[in-house]
Amino acid sequence: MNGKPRNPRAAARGALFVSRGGFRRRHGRAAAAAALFFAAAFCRSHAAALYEIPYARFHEFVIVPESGADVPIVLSGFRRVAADIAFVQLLQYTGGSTLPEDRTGYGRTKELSLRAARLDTNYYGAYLFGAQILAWLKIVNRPQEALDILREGTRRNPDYWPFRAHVAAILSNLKDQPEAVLAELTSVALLPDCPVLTKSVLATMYKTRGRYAQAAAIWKSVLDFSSDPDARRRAAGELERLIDLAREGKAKGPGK
Amino acid sequence: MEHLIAVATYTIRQHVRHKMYLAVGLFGVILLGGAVVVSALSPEDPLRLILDIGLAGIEFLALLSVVFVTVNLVIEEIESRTIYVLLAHPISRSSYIVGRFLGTLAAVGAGMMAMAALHVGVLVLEGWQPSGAYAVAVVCAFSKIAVVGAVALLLSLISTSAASSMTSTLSLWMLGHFLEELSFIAQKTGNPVLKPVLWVICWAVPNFSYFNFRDFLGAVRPPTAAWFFWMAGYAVCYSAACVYASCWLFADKEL
Repeated sequence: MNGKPRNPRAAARGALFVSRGGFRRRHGRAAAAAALFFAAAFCRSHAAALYEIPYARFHEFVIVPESGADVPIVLSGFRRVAADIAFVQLLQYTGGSTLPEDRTGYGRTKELSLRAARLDTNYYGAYLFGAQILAWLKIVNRPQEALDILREGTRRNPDYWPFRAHVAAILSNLKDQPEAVLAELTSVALLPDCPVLTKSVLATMYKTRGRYAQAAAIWKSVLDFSSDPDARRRAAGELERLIDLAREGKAKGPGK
Repeated sequence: MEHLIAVATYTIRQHVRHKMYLAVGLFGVILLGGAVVVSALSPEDPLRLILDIGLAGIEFLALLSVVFVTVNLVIEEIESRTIYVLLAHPISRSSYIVGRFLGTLAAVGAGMMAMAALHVGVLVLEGWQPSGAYAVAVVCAFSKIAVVGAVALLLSLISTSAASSMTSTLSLWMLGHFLEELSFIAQKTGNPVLKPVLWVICWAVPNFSYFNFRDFLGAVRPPTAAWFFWMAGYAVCYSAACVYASCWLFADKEL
């Protein structure tokens, strides 16, 4: 009141300055928030490039009368719990199927196994349990369904060798597919964590068919990669025997 | 910084004294005990069941705590007018928001660690061999909780009621677990309108699948250490963006 008379032009300039400052400040904050969001997106894209999350798609889920809660549980982020519930229901089903009136049953074993396995594609036990019931239980004896489960397991988990070993075992039980067994076991033997025992079985199968070169290649891989001194000693001995057999001219077949 | 630590410490004390914190802790103990009982249903692999139910329980209880607490963090103080007492001190509004958020995270994180310790104890008693992957799974779950807490804080300042903020946060939680599917649909669709909409949703909403390390426990090919590094960067940047936006909203908010 006692100060200088208010200059309307200066007041307008001041108001403009304040609003411009506010405008800049607000835009600066928005830009900083956006930069953080973009940084988050950058990190996410790098994570996505490094690891493809191996989830089965929702349209691949097996829908059975028991699967009402599957999608809600998965959407809540508890995928493995959903798979565990599905597996317990598979156990209950197969347990109940041994009742006398259902001895020819087990008809839903494949779909219930695949339901658990597709909820959690890393649930190796779900694939193996269903496949073992279908392939090895004499009252069931549906090896083709077991092979379907195991082949899906192999497709989703190519590095998990027991699936291929089981496929080979089922095929060898079918007796009319020796080449398919050899092919399955050879793909198992190429995996780094394949046990020496499986390699030994495969090498012996090649040896009995007179395919010494393939047998020698398997033993050489044991010699090169195994850290077990006993396995290495055995591999060296087997290689020497195979070389002798080849020299004696006893070799037959394509692996001569 | 001093003010920020003071607000965070006050928040931790407030949460630890809250009845809900104790109730959640008690419920956690019951849940972990229940996992042992439920594991009897799966004689094939009982340890897997205890591991999965325990880790899911820890995350679920942490989610409930963080959403409930964070949404009410500022709203309650505004309604009870205690916020004026705090802001009468020389504390900036940003320090108040950041301190409250960090204090809440510390309190929920401590609860998660306590439940994880109990869970590990139960697992070891059942014959489990401790592994570093478990610690990674718990850290990833905590990262997820930090992100969802930051989102809840932002939504509580945008929305006017606690109920709508909680509902929105929980909806985003579910959407965040559906994003892998949405991005698959976005790749496949030929619809020129739907494609960009889905693409924006996929990048704007936090993708919680990246924090589910527990889904890959025991996998032959788990994610690498580099993946873990980028995932941690994602959690930090996304949470920081939400907290920054919350500070911005709160600075302009008329109390």
